Amino acid sequence: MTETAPPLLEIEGLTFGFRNQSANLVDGVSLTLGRNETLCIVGESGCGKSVTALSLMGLLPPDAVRIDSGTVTFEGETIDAGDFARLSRLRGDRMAMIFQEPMTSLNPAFRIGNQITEAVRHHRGGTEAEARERALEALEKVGIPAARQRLDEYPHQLSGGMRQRVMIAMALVNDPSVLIADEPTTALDVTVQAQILDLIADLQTRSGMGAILITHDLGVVAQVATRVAVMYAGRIVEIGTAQEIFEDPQHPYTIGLMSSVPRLTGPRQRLSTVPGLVPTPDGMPEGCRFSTRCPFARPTCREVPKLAPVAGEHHVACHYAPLETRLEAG
Amino acid sequence: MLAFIGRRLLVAIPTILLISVFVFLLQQLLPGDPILAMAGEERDPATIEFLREKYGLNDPLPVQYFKWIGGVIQGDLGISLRTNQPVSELLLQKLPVTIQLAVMALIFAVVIGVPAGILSAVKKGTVVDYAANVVALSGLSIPNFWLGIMLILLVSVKWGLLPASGYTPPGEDLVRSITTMLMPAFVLGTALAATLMRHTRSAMLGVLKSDYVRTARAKGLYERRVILRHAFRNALVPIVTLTALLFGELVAGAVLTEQIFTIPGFGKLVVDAVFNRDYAVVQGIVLCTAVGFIVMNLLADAAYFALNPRLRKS
Repeated sequence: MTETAPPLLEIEGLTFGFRNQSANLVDGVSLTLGRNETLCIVGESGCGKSVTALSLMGLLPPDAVRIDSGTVTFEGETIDAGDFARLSRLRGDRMAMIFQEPMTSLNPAFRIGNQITEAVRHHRGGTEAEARERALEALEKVGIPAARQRLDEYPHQLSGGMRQRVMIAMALVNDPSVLIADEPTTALDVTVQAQILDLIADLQTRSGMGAILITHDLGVVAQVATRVAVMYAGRIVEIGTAQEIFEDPQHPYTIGLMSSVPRLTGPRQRLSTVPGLVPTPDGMPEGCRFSTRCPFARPTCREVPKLAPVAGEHHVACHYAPLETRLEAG
Repeated sequence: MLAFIGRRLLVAIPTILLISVFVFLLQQLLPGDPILAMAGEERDPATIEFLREKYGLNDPLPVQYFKWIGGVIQGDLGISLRTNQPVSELLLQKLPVTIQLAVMALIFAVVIGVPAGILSAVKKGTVVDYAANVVALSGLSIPNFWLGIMLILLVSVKWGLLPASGYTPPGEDLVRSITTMLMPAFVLGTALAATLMRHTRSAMLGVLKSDYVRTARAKGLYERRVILRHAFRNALVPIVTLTALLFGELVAGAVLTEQIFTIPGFGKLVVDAVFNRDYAVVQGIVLCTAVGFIVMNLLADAAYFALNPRLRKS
């Protein structure tokens, strides 16, 4: 992201929750994404990373979820986060999404080609033959061998990795400027995982597309991220460039995440974990939501910490940041 | 696909044979003796003996069975003991009537049950869902005969809109044929519609949660297309199975419905035959129904092929 160009996508103060619960699922999340940039959102299950992505796509069930506030500015157009109709016009077109489960994400009853042309014709119109050519191009672009044949095959005839490629082709067929990938490689073999990540990175450099990658796999983050946002219990607790986050993590939760990754080098030691569980929406602690599990928690943590700058783009939401101050104090 | 259907047909043959043995033995267990009824008041032993010999009732059971099944294969289902008409002729006469009733009832059931099921799944937990469930539950709990009688009272007697009973062949007067059959078909169809609605609802609820429905939405497709194309297409498999299985219920229901609306169909034939101990006719009907059931299941199997591409490979 350059200083002068406006970001491709800007989320401002996104806040929402279930209609039948008072606590927020996602609380005041703000993010930006630039062209050609890969923003990784990390955090453990239930931290709100997937629902944040779904809300961008206008894919949250409107009868179960209340959007309290937030705006999405996309290519200069500002949309209210609760305006599902306007968001849904973007999805599949300017903004596309791929999911975790390639095995079940394609409709078993329809041919691959048909599932892709459907997306083309919905947004672009045109004839089936034209859409089919576009679909073929997309399949070739994602490196599917014998793409013309694949058009007439059914999902069950393809492997998991191939299906994820088809999903990517389907997402990219309308040349979106933002791709949201929700754990796109979690269900795949490690070797296939690397191929898919390389493919996304390659497509990005070719088209300048921005990508939001949601994952809990820090190995994946280290491999592809330009910037990293760490989410905990519906809030962003730390955000910065990949280098800043990996070399100088500031939030106790980020530090906990980093140290729970097994390492191949250095002395063998017991894997450290972050004790406790993510609080449930109706059992959210006041103030800092990590305070119940934080080894450094103090009485001041009952107040909500602001996301404050540490250095450069690096921001952290902790009363005791930067870390050095905290260690000296405690 | 043809190989699959062929295999199914091969399996169907022993099934039908087994049913035929069962049907044949079942009538041996029925109380009463038609020969005694035929022989009249005097019960002259010579007459009885003559009649037994004439109808082959003195042969050992296996011989009787093979004689019978041999005829069945050639389309000869025997002679009605009561009317002296060939059973096959009787069946051919009555079968179209009941088929018309069943098809019309099935149309009612599908046209009411499937959309109601889709709607209540999509609107789960709303007033629409509850209303559909209440209607379905009443459809299931209201007995056919009561609904039939009430409809006759209201629609025919009070309003004079539709004929209360009878039957007109479609070849004779198509409009009259359909209007006459409208009420009976509706009565027979409602109970099935309720079952179909509840199964459609649960099938749709399962499918709507699936990942590919989310993918379809992520493509930006209109919700209507997501539901009717992506979700419903996959929910169809269990719905088709159920519809085939409903055939049994349909035949059983037809017996009662035909009695209420005095329709000269299969149902009336079977009731009369049982009461008159007309063995040959009962056998013919049961066999015919069993074959119908097997054909329906075959059709359902064939439908799977069209619906589920995963089956086509094996």
